[in-house]
Amino acid sequence: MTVWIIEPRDPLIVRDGRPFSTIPGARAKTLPFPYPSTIAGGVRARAGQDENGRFIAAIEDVLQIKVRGPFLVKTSSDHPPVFLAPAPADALLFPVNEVKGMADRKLLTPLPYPDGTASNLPDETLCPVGLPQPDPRKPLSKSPRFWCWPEFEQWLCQPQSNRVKMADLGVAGPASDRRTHVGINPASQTGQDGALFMTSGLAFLHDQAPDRTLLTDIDPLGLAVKVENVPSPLSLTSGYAPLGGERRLMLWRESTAPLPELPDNLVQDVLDADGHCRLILLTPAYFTAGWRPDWLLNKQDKVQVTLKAAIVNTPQTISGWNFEDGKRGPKKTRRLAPAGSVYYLQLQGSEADVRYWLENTIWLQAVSDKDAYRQSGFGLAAIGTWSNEARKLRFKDKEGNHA
Amino acid sequence: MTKYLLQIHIGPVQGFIASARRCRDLWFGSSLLSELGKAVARSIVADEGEDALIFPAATQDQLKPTSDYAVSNKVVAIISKQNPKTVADKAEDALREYLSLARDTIFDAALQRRLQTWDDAKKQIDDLPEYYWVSVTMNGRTYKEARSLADSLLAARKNTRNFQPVTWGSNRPKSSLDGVRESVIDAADTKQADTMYKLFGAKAGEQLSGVDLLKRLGTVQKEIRVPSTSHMAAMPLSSQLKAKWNADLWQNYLDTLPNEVKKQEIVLHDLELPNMGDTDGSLLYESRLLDYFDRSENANKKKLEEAQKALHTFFHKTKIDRPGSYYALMMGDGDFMGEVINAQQDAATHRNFSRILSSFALEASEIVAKHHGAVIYAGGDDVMALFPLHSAVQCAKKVAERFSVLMSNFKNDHGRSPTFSAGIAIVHHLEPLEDALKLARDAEKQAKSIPAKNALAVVVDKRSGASRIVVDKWSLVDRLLNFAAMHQREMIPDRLAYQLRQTYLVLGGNHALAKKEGETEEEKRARQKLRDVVGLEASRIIGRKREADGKEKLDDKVKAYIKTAVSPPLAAAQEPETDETAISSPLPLTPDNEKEQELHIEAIATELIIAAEISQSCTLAGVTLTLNLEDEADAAKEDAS
Repeated sequence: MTVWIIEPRDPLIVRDGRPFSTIPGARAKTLPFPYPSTIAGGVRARAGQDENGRFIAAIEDVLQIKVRGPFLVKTSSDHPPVFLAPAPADALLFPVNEVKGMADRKLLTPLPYPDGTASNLPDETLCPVGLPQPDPRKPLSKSPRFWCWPEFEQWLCQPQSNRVKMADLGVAGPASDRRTHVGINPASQTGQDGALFMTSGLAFLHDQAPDRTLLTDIDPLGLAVKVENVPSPLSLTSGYAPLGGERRLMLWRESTAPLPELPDNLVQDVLDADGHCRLILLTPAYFTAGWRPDWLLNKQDKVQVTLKAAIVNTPQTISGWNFEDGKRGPKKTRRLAPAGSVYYLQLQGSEADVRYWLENTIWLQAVSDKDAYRQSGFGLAAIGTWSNEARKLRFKDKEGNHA
Repeated sequence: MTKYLLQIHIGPVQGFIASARRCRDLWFGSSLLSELGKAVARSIVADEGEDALIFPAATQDQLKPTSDYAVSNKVVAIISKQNPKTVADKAEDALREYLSLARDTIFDAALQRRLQTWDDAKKQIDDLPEYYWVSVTMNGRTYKEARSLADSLLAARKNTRNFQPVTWGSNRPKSSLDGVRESVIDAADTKQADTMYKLFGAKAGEQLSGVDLLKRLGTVQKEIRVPSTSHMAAMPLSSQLKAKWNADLWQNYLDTLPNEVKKQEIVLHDLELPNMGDTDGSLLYESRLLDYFDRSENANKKKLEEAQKALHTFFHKTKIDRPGSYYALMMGDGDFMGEVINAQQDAATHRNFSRILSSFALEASEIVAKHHGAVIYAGGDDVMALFPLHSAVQCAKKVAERFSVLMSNFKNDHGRSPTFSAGIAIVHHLEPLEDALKLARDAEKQAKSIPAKNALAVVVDKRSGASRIVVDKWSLVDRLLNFAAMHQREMIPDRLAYQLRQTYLVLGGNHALAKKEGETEEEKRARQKLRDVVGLEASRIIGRKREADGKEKLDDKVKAYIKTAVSPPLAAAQEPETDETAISSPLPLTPDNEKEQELHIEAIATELIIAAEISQSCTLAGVTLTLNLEDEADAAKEDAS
């Protein structure tokens, strides 16, 4: 039941689906952030190793290990890790002309159709999700991709359109690190003609503060992951070990820090709003029907869940490589609802059941459709309020009149 | 009958277009998207008549499949005869029907039989389109109100991307282009260079999905295929190829090449290189030869050497220079378009706006052609084109000027007309196209991030070191061309850029030279003196270089120009333009955009580096640039006006 911190010593490479071969000019491109399965695979592989690094465990044993993450964290040897959350898709940041580093944060919310309007949303009961009042500005293209947990928690409890300082809000996340390599002729130990190849990796450094120029001022970033259900005699050990492509080294260490807790009054606020709430994905989720959850909407723990609206951006695609004997090779592609997606739900059930459901079944638990995906940490969920006031909002025109 | 405003968005756009390895992937991706837009517009015209269309405001003739007319990914129409849902659904059917037709034309029966995975390819292609629509009744709403509401509603609709699960997943390798779909090429075929070329227009080892193959094999009109990046980079050599050609030597070289290479590297567009007929410019590059011979076999190594030798002989004996390595990719579009469209009071003016935009797209294509460029896409206010390096910035400026003239009658609520901003990426011809696209797109964003926009960003990605970008108003073009003209005349040394940076750091860098919050008059004067030193040092470096080389002394005008360009006096150094009328002027975020406040040594150094590339390219092309030493301030005035 431990949180493990993985600090990349070298840029981490978590490759996308493109093949990487020995053709001159070949490139290994990394994804912008590791998928839960990569980290879960790393954890399980490490748990199944003997002291010499050989994998000796039975596959079915390591598959019992439940992994929740990865979370991006600011790491520091002196302080506990600071958790970050992927930017929620119901917040849009607009540029502020006169003030440097500031942004206007606006809340997107489900809005009923104005009279005489229609759209091709997939289900007639779903509401479009938009800005109640149009903003003529274009949203910022470079806004923090990860929010610091206190900011995120505030957004879960009391989301408000307001002006924010971007450096306080969060970080851009791991930076891309491109390296050019050359193929070496083993006989002569010299470079081969035209055999340049490139890798791009993720440098886990927080480089968002342009006014800080000293290297020592840059905060290192890392990954945090909760590891549960490790069957005896398997265990994880601290130390340096490779993860991802090109066997780049990471420092694995145990942390006593707990995962962020469910904010105090949040459950009560959800109950007060007739069971209306937002479910925000902290890691990408796999749903068998594509964008729409299934397991989540089927009655769990005596709570009936109805989907009212959703903000889901372009899907992410995952494939991966199977190392299991007999199945070695590329895995099938699947589409994932991206982290940050927001599902607007109405919960029906007794107060006690709803409370139990939110606290135990949903908060920082995986809500993907299949056990294997939940076990690996796909679709970790956070809960936010969807207040009675927000539900009264309507589309307005530029002058603020109801459309 | 009630009138409805219908707005349709067709996708996917950026991701679909950007997953391209070859120029033809890029070109076909853009043109397929335009054809899908046309299919939607045609269906609406069939149901509601030509007058229903607001954007594009096109005639039936213009909307014919494969016409020159390009449609963007948004369609706006007024629906009055039928229910908007019926019209929108029929338009979606028309889009899917067009895609199926394109699919079955490109994958003919023989190819379908050849592919063991045809079924997967079909599923991948059919899954491709994204189609979102909203409708708003115009009863009780003015056109302006209805349009504004439809915009908000469409943005809200697009927030729920109701994607379907993958139905073709298998343990086959994934696409080399984007990695998101399974390759449909049989494993045995991917190893056969000949089969890969003949059947799929691909290299051995390349993995392509159904969607990738659709782009690779899609040739709607063969003759408008775009040239390769290598061909573009070789274009400046045209005049030399014309004047110094030797047909025998060229034939000797061609004879050393495998047949499939000669068949593969052909051009199907009208930008042929003189005397080379339909042979692609890539055959002028020794570095490309490495791709053509599988060097794992000794026999091939020998053949490669023979080819290299023959090419060397061709260049040596004809005295034709070796081609340059860089080409330019431009991406640009209109500024403040949303605000100006928002300000249009009725359907008629909006329709007129659409018409003028279409005429801009056609004119832009002509301007690009005049500058030896190749349009990949020109539709609405968007232009994407490839250029040889010696004409890229000049052409971009011409396109921007034409745009401003055509749009001058349309204003936003504050009386501002749309302007044009662009990003140009100067890239090595062997760099992956997707990288060039990303650079150009990022540059375009940077251009649009400076106050009041109407700007150009040029990014140069040399194979050694990080990419460098310079962003400024369009007067940047004049400065670049002047620096390039000075390079051509050997008035400025190649190392000037690096020496300037050194001086700047010695004087205390940003810390000493940048503007400080609440600085006193005295501090400002002190800062100005330091700035003067940098400017004087620049003219000293130039003078010293000339004297060391025993050349005649530089004209004082040239020295003064460089001094002012390097270190403009503080009074003339503009504060960031405050523009109360521009609601959407975004926040300047990067150091590049803050250069008005600072002594922009980095920017000037980058300008000098870019200018050196342009000058080399002009010299290859036999173009002598004119040196125009008007005061820089004039250019700044021009921008302001």
